[in-house]
Amino acid sequence: MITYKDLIFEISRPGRIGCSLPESDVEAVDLSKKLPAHLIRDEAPELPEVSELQLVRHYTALSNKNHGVDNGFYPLGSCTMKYNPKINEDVARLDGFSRIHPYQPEATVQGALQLLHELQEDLAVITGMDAVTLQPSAGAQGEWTGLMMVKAYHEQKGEKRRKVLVPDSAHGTNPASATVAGFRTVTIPSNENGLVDVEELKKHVDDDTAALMLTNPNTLGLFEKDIVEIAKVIHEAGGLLYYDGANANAILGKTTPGKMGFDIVHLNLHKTFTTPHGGGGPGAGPVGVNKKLIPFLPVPRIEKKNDLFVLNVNEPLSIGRVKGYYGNFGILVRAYTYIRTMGPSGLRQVSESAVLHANYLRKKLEPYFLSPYEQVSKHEFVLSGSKQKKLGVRTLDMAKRLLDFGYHPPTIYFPLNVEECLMIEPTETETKETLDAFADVMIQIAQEVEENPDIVLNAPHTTVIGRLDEVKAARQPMVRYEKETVQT
Amino acid sequence: MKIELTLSARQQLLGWPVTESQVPRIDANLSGGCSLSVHFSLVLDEPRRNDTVIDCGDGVSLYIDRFTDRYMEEETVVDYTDEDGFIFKNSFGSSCTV
Repeated sequence: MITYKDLIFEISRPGRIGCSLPESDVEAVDLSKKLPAHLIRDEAPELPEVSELQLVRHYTALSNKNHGVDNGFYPLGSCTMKYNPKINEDVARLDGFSRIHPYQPEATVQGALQLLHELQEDLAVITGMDAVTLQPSAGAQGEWTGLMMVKAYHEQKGEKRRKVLVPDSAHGTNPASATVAGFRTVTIPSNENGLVDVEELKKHVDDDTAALMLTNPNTLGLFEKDIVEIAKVIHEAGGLLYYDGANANAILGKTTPGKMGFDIVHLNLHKTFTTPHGGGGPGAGPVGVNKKLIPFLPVPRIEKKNDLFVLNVNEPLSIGRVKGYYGNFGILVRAYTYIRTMGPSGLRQVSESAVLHANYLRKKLEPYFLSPYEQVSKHEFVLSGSKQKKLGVRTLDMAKRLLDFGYHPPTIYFPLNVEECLMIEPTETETKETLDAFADVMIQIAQEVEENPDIVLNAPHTTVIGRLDEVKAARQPMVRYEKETVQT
Repeated sequence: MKIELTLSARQQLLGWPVTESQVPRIDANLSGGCSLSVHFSLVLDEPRRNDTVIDCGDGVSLYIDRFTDRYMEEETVVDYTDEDGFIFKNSFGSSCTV
């Protein structure tokens, strides 16, 4: 049986092939006459040599070992692992979208440009912004793009503001993006309710403040109810307010960052707008801005002039191009399809159901795990494993135990301001039965911690690979695979 | 497992109000999200049922639960300074990304 342990290189046999290529009808080239000697290899590359059936079985087996939303519940807080409708895939594969080239003349890709233009407008309405760029290919790149516009905005006014404020519950990408963009970050502590401490914020706001980066609802799943006052504090000091849209699934169709007073917004299309989370890519992190920041948006901009869609590169104050071509086009097509499929009322229903699901699950689990905040949560919530810690079992152990039941664990140990944190985001696309079944397993694990902790401490028991020794992996990392010689 | 206390660390611990229900514990705590970091601390805390008790001499015993034990090395030196508190000298240092 082919298992996960058999690498494709290990099932390889010299001379075995998966397809028969016709003889080349192009004359062979003598490489030694075309390339310098040191660039020509002496031996053939050691590529795997397998039959087509072996290839299919190998990758099918690998895919079966994977966990995704299509085969199980995935309540990974802050990541919005919701179902990606298959119609998105169908539309993205239409020839008119999948078989065009970014260097084609504008006149021959009017449909694609129209889609991008309409997506820009839709996202502007959804966020309450005045204009949107679709170029950034991920949330963090969206952050960096937004911060480069912040910098350009202040510099254009003749100011050299260098300070970006971030709450202690912020996503780690916020301070990272600010640092990469050349700013100095200052962390603002949360108050006892898990919200930005406004009085503490005021102490750090001054004429060097370039921006405050805020996620609302924040990573604890709590709505920052003082957002209007926060916006006033930042704006009165001449700073800008940046909205991290990672949690936009909680407010979709209900309110907008624009109404809250934000100047810049990024969205994660792979979260809120059902494009795939693809193991690091391809993603999309469009950025919306209000009027005062429009001159600094990246180029090319997709605009409509005289009933034609055009690419505008002539914007002297623009921060320039931040991505090859016009963004991850296929991903943008999927997000557009989702928005068109759902419509305004459907998108509103998304956030209503996401919030309902999170609070339903929270109420079911609160008797068994410490719930650090009383406020009604939005689309996600945090629990603390501190009660179980006193019994010698940690959140990491309980996360491993969840694997035995076929669940992807929630986000753990984040946000940093909650001890032994579990951050759970069920999303709107799950059924009540799924939520109930997950709650039952969590409750069972809580009971195991009290009655039979070893089963939790030694978990997982049913996975292909058991408990990994992450300590050894950190101390003695072996990151190189060495192929054994196969006897033929 | 061997834990070596420096003179300053030992003196600090000898001054702690240790009782049956409040014992000195080396605690590994994780933080992170996308990647995890481990941080060690030395605290007064309740005993846990899977604790290992390490006799460090002079009547000083340190409690370590099974979770923390995974992150400890065979030999760890614990130092104390007024500025930084307890410092754990092992290959992770006082904190390390795992």
